[in-house]
Amino acid sequence: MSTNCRRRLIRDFKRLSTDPPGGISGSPCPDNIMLWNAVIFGPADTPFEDGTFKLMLTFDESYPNKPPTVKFLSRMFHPNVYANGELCLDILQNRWSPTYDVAAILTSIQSLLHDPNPNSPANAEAAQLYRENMKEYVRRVRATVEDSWLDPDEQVAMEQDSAGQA
Amino acid sequence: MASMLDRLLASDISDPTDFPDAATAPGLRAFDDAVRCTICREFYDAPVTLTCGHCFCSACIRSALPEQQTCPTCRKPASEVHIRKDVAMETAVQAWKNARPLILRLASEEAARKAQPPQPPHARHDSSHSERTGNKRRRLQSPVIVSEDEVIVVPSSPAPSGSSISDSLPDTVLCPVCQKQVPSQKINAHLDSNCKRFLAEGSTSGSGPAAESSKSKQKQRWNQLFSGGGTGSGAPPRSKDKDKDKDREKGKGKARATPDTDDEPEHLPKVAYDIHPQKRIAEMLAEWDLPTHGDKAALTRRHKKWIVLYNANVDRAPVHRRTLDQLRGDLRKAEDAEQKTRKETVDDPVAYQKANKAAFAKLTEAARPKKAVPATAIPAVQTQAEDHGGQTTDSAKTGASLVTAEDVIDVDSEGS
Repeated sequence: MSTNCRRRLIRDFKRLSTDPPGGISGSPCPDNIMLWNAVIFGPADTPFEDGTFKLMLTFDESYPNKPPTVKFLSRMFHPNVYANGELCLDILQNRWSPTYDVAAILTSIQSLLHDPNPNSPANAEAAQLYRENMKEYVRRVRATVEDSWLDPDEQVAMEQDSAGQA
Repeated sequence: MASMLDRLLASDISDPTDFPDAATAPGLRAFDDAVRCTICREFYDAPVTLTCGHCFCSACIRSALPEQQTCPTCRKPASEVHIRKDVAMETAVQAWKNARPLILRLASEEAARKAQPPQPPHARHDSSHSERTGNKRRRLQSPVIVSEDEVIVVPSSPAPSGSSISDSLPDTVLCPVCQKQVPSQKINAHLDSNCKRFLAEGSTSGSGPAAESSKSKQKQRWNQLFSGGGTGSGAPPRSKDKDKDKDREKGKGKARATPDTDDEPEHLPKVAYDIHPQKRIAEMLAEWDLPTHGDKAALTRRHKKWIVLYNANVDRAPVHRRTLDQLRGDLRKAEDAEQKTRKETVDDPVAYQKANKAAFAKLTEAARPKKAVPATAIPAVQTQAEDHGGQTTDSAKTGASLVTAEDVIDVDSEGS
């Protein structure tokens, strides 16, 4: 049962548990090692500071030769995150290397929060505000940070509220 | 639920994190990591290098290169023709695999010993030379047996001549070159001065005819050493044929084309599957007694995988090579694993988060950045880690944060 991919994922988990990089955590679902939950804290001194952003990583047997699918579950306002939570991140696409592990992926995403790349926008509005109206960009990001602290139910309620106002 | 994750962590899959951290066992984690492939994280199996010098399992890099023609570590351009076996690494891996269980046991004992509260400093037999270098020298010279909390110094039989270390000169060592007693702290300077300076006062063993004879004996021994055993009782003289064999063996890895390596199996060439009809690919599989069911894509995948497995097997040392039947088994296993795979999709992130609320709460606590801790604030960190003990995803994490705190202490105390 333990294929190369699964053994590798167990080692990724051991490493992440023993020597966790600051501000990130992740663990496989208890019943399915191919499905991981993760949390990234917004990096300090950025608009994302203190946000607790939840993500999901899905692997298949081609890992680590192919990257996993990574998706934000928390609502994000970031130039490189699509509305459905998917990311536009080079190392998860054409710059993937089979030497990356879960810790490396999560660390890269954490630094993407810090350093957006407005040249390959996945969220055009966020990219535009990031370039032209930093104040408004920060305000919108702070709103998602506050969202990230809420329960999923409350988040939905908030989203409906804001939709109603608009 | 959490116990399932704990079981994963405790599973019988070896990892560098099995060893204590660098403060307790310096270099062991790093070493265990250094003999593992950075792609699969297993010990190197048929290690090979690219032109940039980075090392991988043969099968790992042969599977990775078709995806991207660069080194997975440094991204320098790479291709399969650059792959060279790393025979030395293969030997090192084998040796480490043999040594690992013992080292692991010793390292855990050391970790357990360190974890115990420090015992009051025991009275040393010789308080006169508490200086560090002095102690080190003494330890080198005579084996010390540590039992519980008392130190017994067992005088070693003084090597190699007959002169003895007199107990009246506890702070001296025998110079390995001139066989005279030298104050232990001055031994380096003594050696630098060609054994002329810093002789210990009252050192009697260094003069007279006895010393002369021991000196010549010493010389003889060195000569024996440098002449590779020679007439001594050391290594038996090596036959010339044996040397030749060894040279040939060495040459194999480097120059595959030399005529005396024709017993070495050849790598299989790449196949341009696009230009071949399905029937031809099925024939190619049949040549190796491999299953021929499935469409063209499946046949192509199978044959590609076979080439990877076969060529990786060629890169193994002959003693570690698998038989063709074993390779066929490996291929079957790999195909079975691929079939199982279906990437899960989560359509409703809200429902999913709700269902995994507890898991995410744990993860959030685990990820919460610890405020930068100066060395003075360490007790605070420890209590914090203990408080979280009940909540964190796994006890290993709690242990890790404690360990980090210890790191800080150790580094500091050593620096001062």
